[in-house]
Amino acid sequence: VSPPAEDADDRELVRSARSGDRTALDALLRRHHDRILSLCRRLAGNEADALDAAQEALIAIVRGLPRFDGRAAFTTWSYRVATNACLDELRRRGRRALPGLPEDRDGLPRSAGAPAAGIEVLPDRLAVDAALAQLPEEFRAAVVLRDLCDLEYADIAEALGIPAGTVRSRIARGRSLLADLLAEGNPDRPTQRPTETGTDR
Amino acid sequence: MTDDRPRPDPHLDELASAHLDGRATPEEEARLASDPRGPARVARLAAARDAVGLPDRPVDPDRRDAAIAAALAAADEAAGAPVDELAAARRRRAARRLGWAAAAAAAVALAVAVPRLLDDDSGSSTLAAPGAADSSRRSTESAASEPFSAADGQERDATSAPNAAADSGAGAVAGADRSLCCPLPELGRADDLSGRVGPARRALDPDAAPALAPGPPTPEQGACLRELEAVATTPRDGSATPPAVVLRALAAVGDEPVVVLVVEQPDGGRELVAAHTSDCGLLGTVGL
Repeated sequence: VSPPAEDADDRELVRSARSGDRTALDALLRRHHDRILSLCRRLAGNEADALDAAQEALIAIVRGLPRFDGRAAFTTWSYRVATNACLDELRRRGRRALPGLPEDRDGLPRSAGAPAAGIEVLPDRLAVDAALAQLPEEFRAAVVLRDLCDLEYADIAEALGIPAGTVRSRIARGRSLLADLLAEGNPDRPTQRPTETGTDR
Repeated sequence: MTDDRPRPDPHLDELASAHLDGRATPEEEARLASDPRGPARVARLAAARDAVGLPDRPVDPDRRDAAIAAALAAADEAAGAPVDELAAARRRRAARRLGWAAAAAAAVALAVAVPRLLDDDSGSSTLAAPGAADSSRRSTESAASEPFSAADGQERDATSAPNAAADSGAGAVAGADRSLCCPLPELGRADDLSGRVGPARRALDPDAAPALAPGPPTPEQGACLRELEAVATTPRDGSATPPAVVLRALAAVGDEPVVVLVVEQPDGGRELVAAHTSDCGLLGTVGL
């Protein structure tokens, strides 16, 4: 998640911050703020909620710092705390970006459209956020923690309070739904189903 | 009617996704490799993965500063300290107000010392009262210029005093930071300060369970308590031992919320000192 040197710097800052060094705490928060905001942007789906959620996340990190035991890298731990703070904040506001997608008879979320063969044009950041906002929260959080924060399955499982096996399936389903949504928003996407010799059957 | 829209195979997607993360078992890798749709599924999910990891939009520096300031304020609040520039300005204003509080403390010291002078023919304490006043003034000047360090120093002194270990409620001093991070005893409302003496005594009773405020002290209350302590724990009567804070509490006098300290002098005498929360102005002192 973070290079060893950066992790060592974090640990030193954490140690100083916990002993009351306000400058160290400021530096620690400044170092991680943008990452936390990125996480909240992906989870919240809109800028205003993301900013508020990021602020709540930073406060949660500060308040939780005495309980940080150093077993995980600070970055990993802070993502974990921030994820829960963001989700709590969004739930408290009763916010959900968009209703989740309908579920199939077997309980699995189903794509609203045809599966895409690929995403020929890399979508811009806003389009990605808009697509992420349409994912059910449980898939969105798993995908964001994996693909944005680069957390391991075990860390995601701990952050979300779910088994590691569930993490794997949520990431897969989230990515699949996201691929469809991004392809739908891409006017250049193939209108025909890919052929057998192409990319999908 | 059948839904013949093409749908992704969730199982194949899970294999492809696990493959991207290096989490597929050898058996799963073999299944994925043997499926002609496998490469396309992997490419499709890889594109989604890469999209999530796209570089983020720039962060507004002002918003970053504001978020960090709020978090630092939360840290200060947890420690019972004032929080931000606004609070710092307020501290400075309060410290100025407490200039006269120091004079009041010195007057109290004189009031205590003068009767003793009349009774004590040793003369040893003759010079003590002016010394106490000087000490009080120095302490307040120090608090005005360095409100944090002065207050912190006084707190350490107070909490290290043997008689400061009274553990009779959340506001009883067993560690300044701990008491300021927890709900303090709520002494209720009275028309004048003397009306709070009884509740303060009860709060100090180790067998009593004092009513507590609904939450930890606000930053304003914490700041005011610290500033009040800087004055109230100034050594008096020429003593080298500062009075010890044995109780921090909240109350209301009239319609005004106040912060309350009970300090114990080296000779065992106790006083209740209160200040308005709104401006940290000293309300008064009564014997306990």
